[in-house]
Amino acid sequence: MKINSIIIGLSVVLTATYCGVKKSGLETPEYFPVPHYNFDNNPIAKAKISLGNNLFYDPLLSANNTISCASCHSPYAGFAHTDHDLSHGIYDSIGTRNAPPLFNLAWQDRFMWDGAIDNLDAQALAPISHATEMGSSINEVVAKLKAHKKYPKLFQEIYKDSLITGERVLKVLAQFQLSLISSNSKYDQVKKGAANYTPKEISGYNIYKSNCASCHAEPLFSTYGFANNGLALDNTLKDIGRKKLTLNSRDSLHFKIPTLRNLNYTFPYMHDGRFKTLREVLKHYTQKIQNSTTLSTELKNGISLTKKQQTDLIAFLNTLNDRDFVVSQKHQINRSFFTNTEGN
Amino acid sequence: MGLKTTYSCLCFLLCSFAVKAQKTTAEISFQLLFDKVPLELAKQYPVSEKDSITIDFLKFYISDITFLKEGTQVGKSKEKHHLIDAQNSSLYKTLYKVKNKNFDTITFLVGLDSKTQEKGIQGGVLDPTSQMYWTWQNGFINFKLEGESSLCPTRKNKFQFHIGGFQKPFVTSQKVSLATSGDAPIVIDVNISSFFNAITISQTNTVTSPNKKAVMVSKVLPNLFSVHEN
Repeated sequence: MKINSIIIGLSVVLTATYCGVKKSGLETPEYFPVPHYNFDNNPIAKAKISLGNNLFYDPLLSANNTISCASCHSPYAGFAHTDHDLSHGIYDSIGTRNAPPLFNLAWQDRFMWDGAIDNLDAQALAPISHATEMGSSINEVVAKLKAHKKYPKLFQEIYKDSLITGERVLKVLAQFQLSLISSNSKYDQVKKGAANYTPKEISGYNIYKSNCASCHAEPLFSTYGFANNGLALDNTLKDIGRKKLTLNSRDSLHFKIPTLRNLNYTFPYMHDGRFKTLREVLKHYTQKIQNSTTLSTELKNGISLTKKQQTDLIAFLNTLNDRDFVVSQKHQINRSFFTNTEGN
Repeated sequence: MGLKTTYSCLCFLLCSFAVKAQKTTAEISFQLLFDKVPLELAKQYPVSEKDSITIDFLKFYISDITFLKEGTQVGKSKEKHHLIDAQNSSLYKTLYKVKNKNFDTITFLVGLDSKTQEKGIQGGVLDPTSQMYWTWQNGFINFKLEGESSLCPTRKNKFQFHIGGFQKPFVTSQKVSLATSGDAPIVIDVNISSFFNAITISQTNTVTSPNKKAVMVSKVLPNLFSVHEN
């Protein structure tokens, strides 16, 4: 009887796991949690990912056809904007925050540094409409796509009708972004039993577990929650983070906790890109934390790490870089689509 | 046995026919007005000897139009969500189904319910090209009203009300309940001048995010609606 229950229980779990993978249509490691994204509202299809890919790299999305999503979210930078503290947009304008990397988005429930958007499908409306990003509107984008030589055919093939709507544009863009899964770093290979850590990396892993893991939790290396990590307010930006959205003083200086995956490609760090190197980041956590009422409780007493411990920690953080992901052809621009496009 | 089955079948058929026959489809309209006359965009409406109000843009959602008889639901509109846009016409018509043509109350929501809000990007009247989904944060605007008035001490005398928000404490969809004699076709008057009677636009003229002011303004909205009396 007991064995029977165990078997039934196990089959339920296995079926659920299998269905989870099958339902999302995305290949993910079994040690990843259940995605947050509701795939029932936007079932994954290869043709949609491919159409989303074209839109992601197409500057048509901006008012003067100069800025694409990839302008600030480059594949080689883990879909962030390497070496730019603040993102650059249309007409050489400069934004107020660092462009975050785009991967493992199905596991995130809030987007933007202040979590202003809780729905990946809706997220693209922000950069499309923002005056210092793409300066356009979803209506303008839809109108341009309708008049385009290639897009109507692609929409027709997918939806079996020629309607191009805001909903469809945003959902295929979301599909491409959902397909950006980074899960082949050395950390992942160790998880899968295909690699081993060096002693230095093991030491770094232990330091990570006792000092960083509560906010940058495995296996995504973030809880994707919000916290005040003790950064001094930049007086030129005066960015109060999530409080601006919720109007709640408890959210003052709270920003989204970023992942520690792919740090090698996504510098500079923090919401305003103020730190160029991991050494600077660790200097902040060990020496420069600003106390305030909203400071994360984990940081109230600061983090104490010797130089050697910092070196070991960085060695471990380097095992989270996923080179396969950043060079993967399938996430890159489909050149044949763009080389044969005239005008528009 | 055979007879019994035939009898049951007959009963079932009769019953289903009877239920079907009770439901009728009728029309309900929303008529946009400014002081009892159909609203016209870009028209100057005098509000005093020297001041006037001009509406440039008016769009809002109406959801879950429901018909009640003594507190029990007897019918509802065919579509769940309605987007009323002054640009299209000052008269918005939609169909509803109701049992026995017999109801005493109509209820609906000005705005969208939180479940719809949470679902995010959707199609039809909810498509983001309707210009009712916020771009810089989550959620739909429930009620969008823009224009100018000499009363507004703002740049180019503009007023802008983008009333939305579905998360506590800033919930802005409002339920409206109207008593009616139940005679079809029903016309609901939406008197926009009532908005300006309730809001002092010299002080409150720009509300474009979910906050206390948005909630305050949203509470005025049910007063705009009344059953048209011939």
